Amino acid sequence: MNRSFPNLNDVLREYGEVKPYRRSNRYHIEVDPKSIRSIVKKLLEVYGDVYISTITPVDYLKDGVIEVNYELEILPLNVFLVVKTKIPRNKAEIDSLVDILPGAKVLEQEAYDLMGVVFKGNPYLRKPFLLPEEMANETPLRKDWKPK
Amino acid sequence: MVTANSDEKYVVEIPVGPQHPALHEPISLRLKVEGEQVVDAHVVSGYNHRGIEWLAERKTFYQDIFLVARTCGICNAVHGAAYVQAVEDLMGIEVPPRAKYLRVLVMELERIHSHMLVLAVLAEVLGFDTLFMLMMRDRERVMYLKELVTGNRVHADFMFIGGVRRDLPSDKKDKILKHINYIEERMKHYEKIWAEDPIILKRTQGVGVASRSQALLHSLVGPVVRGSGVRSDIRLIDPYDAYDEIPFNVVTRDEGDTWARMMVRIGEIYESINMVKYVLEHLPSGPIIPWKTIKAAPRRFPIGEGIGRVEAPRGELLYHVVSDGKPKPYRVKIRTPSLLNIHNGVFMMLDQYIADIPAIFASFDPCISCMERVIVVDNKNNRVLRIPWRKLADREYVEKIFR
Amino acid sequence: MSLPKILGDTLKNLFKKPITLMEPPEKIEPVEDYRGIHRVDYDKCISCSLCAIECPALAITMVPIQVGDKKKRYPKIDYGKCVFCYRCVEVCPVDAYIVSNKKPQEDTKRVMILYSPEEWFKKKTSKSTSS
Ligand code: SF4
Ligand code: SF4
Repeated sequence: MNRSFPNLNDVLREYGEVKPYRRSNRYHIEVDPKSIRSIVKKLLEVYGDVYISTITPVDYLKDGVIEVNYELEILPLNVFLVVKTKIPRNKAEIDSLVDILPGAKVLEQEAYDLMGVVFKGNPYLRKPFLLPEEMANETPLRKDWKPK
Repeated sequence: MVTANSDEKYVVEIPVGPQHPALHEPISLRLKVEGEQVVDAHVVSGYNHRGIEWLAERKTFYQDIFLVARTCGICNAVHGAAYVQAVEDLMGIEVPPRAKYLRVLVMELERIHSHMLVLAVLAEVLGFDTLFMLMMRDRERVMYLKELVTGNRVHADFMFIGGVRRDLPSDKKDKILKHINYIEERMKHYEKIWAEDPIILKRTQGVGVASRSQALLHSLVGPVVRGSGVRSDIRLIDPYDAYDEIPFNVVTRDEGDTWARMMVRIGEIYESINMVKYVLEHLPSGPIIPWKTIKAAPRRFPIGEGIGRVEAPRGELLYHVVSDGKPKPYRVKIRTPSLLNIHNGVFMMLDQYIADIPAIFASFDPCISCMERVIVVDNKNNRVLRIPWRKLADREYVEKIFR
Repeated sequence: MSLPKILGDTLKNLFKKPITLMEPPEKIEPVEDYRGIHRVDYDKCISCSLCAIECPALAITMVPIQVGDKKKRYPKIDYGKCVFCYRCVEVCPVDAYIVSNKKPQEDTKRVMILYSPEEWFKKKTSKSTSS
């Protein structure tokens, strides 16, 4: 690595505190759902080689929220960063990343299909994507879903 | 998907798959072609979704080890390894060194046979059936080695939370070495064919090119992104198990075409063979699980979450396990490499000839059962086959039947 | 254009026996510790039903059996569901399972894919009455 990159903590200071996981190169940060686009934009600007590993929505029925984890790999730093956001369950909407990071396309499609998270601005969202047609209105990975 | 400039009027849509002689997997590609060139490509999936993520929330942590291994037949050991790594991360368990080395041994054997399979399949897609037969014959030896080490030639069921499930007696080492040396010799021969055969070169070089920045932006993983010159390998950037102790090289190529991806795989087979030899030589002694017996494994799971990442033969495989303190996991998220490679990789098919599409597609090493995890859908489009060609050229008619 | 490298292989293989085995009657012998058909030694079993709880494929059910004057529950294995993971074998507290490297055989008859305690105990009672 001939270029030196700024510290992750400094880059993301305005959004929240970067906390380490158990492993040395894994970090997570809790942010407001509105700022997800600007975070990814900033990471792409500063580090360049960033790819999105996955989007993991987790349904917390008791708290009435869906936690959307954006798991990003920052290659120049060898850092795996989980960006956690919480959105309300009954209005599960979040901004799409598909125009700044095209790799998020299929992950958003999958999350929309199985968990019902709407990614605003993603023109490729469709149902059914993985599910059969007769389940087009259902979101099986939500905790209150029951098989018929 | 991205559309190239085209005169809409002469565009014909061709469905390829889900059952098609050139595509060996239950997936459907909708290609819009103008003459012989593809102007738009679109993947239709869902033929193999079995609901494994949903099912995993309803089985215990220990039952899930065997359930997630059934996500995919070819890379079952890495699925198990990623899952147990996530659970170990959750519980904070340290794996004994011998178990770490044995895991690497099984995963590298799996990488060898998986890469040999895709090399053979691509040869068959190109019409090179002799090479297909020969490679599959030699691959059978690796399957035998897997049976020798784990107890079954396909489903290893080798990983366990905290370690591995069986030990490797020392008398099996010589057998493994004998077969591995044979494979190495044969691979040198096949490499020559892949590097020199004029037919293979003509069909694969310059076909389906992804530049470095494109490959990264589309979040491609594994040999596909390494074929475009990115040093992205979980074994290197986030070492798990014994990969931080075992020496190996990350094979990359800069061409970014179908041929480069296959040459990366051949290079990785050599690396894997060297790793297997290294493991056999340096296998530490000691226990294979942190407890006295497997029966003493803990039954309590803390609240929290764990992430497991391994480099499967096809690329990064990620498990995200969330626990709420019950014997069953709260959420198991599986992200398989094929999901990204198949859906995000279709941009490489634009402006290519129809005849090259199966080759490009096979070079992603697509694994549909990996990618999808719910219920079988019946394909309603087989009626398309009965439509006369003249009607197919009618744009409005095509629009009507595909929407 | 150079001669295709594969020609040598092709010629060599022309004079060889086919590598494919015709199974059956030819057979590939599994390795010694292959995970094959497993049986329960019902004399050892203490009816703890741990194996039935742990089985990931739900292939084991506990069936009630009249032994002497006591009624006990014993595991019954359905090999049609079993995935041969051997989780039951390693979890059993008294090691009641007998393992073998025999591959499961396809059969049209139902009896072949079920292993139930009824027959075991019937045989036993008939033996004890005859002797
Ligand atoms: S081997 Fe596995 S699937 Fe078969 S009965 Fe035992 S625990 Fe169940
Ligand atoms: S675990 Fe062993 S002792 Fe318990 S029911 Fe099963 S076979 Fe019997």
